Amino acid sequence: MKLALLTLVLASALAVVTRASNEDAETALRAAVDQVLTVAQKAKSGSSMADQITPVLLRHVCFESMTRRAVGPGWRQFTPEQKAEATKLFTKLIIRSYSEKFTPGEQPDTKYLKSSSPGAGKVEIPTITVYKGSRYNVTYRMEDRGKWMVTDILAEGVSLVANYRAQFDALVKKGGAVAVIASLKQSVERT
Amino acid sequence: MKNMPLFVVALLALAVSGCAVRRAAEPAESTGKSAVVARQADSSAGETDDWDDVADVQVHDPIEPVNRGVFWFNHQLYTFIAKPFSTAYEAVFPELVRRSIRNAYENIRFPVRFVNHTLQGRLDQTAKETGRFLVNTTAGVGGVMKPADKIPALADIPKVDTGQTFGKWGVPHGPYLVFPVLGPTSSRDLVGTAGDTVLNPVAWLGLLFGGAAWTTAVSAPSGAHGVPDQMDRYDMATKDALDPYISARTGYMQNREAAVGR
Repeated sequence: MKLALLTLVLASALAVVTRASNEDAETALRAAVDQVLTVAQKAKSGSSMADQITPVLLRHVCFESMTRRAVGPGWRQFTPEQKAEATKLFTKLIIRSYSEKFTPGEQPDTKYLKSSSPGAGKVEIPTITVYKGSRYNVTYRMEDRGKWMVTDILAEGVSLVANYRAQFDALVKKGGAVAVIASLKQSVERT
Repeated sequence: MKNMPLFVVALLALAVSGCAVRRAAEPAESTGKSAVVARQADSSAGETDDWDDVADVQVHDPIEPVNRGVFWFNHQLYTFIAKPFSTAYEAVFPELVRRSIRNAYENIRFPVRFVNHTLQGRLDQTAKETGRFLVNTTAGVGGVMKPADKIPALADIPKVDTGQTFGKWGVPHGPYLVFPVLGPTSSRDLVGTAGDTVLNPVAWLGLLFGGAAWTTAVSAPSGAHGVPDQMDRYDMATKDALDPYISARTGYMQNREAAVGR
């Protein structure tokens, strides 16, 4: 009887903690999205948007985690300098790519759906984003890294990290860190 | 059998060819299946890390060199024909007109959604789709506007198509294919596209009055009016990719797996 009661109390406590985590993550995400949209509304073109949006994204997106996961186990072969270089280039590529999605003057409307927690310190927040008359399912993966940060974005089921992982896998096998960094440099320099 | 529609025959052949159960450690390449699965821990290193929770996108691409050739051809086609067409289309028709055409086209494809929700046994969604169609067709002037979006129960109905229905029935993807003009698909989804065409009233009109060229132009996945959106999606998948072919392939497979999981 005591055991059953203890289990019930622990389960209730866990549910409360999980709910609080989900709420914290959602609050952080809403703040990030609002800040991005405020900047996007003021920007005149894609290139100035990338410049202006960078500090906001650096505050709310964990690019180091994104890069490490996108590269995968091959990350172990990277030296600290190569890790820093790869992260810097990948960050630049993702921010540029993300900025190009916005058309100046167009405001997306985001509806936040019920979040879930796939593990401790992790929350997934599905949303429906209406942009230029079309509806998109966009899910944000958040992690508690001292503060809640975005670690992956899934647009219509397509994970940004998994998509790059498939591309990095072949490069890591072919030429390790050197091939990954060279390819990233090439993509960043491409206009 | 003689009167059986071609796509049903093809579906049966696909189901039979892909009915073997894949062993856990067997790679997709050896089984003819494609999947997005949870990545297993990197056992070679004897430890786990947070990269292990990244989805492992397995694709069965036995004719990759041929597919890459067609992908290259499509890239030229998109760059030199479809994008200029898209730019001209957007210049001629204002956003409001383009949106109205898109809405009306989507509305008239109601039978695709009705039949597939029903085939998936989701009768509640069938009822919602019917309600949405009636509201948009009447209050939305033939579907040009989408007043159903303002009704919460009718606003967020999951998208469905025939390839997705096959996926829900357990039919495997089969080989990944890239078709000239149409782009990426899988054997399963190719048959699904044929099913969608059969269920699309615009295609029926095309067959009656305009012939095969019209049918293809207006009833292909999003029709000629959808070229600007398709170009946007193509750019999103390939513009900042390290390997545009792999990016488009992985994106396609993830998107379809998510559709089946919805």
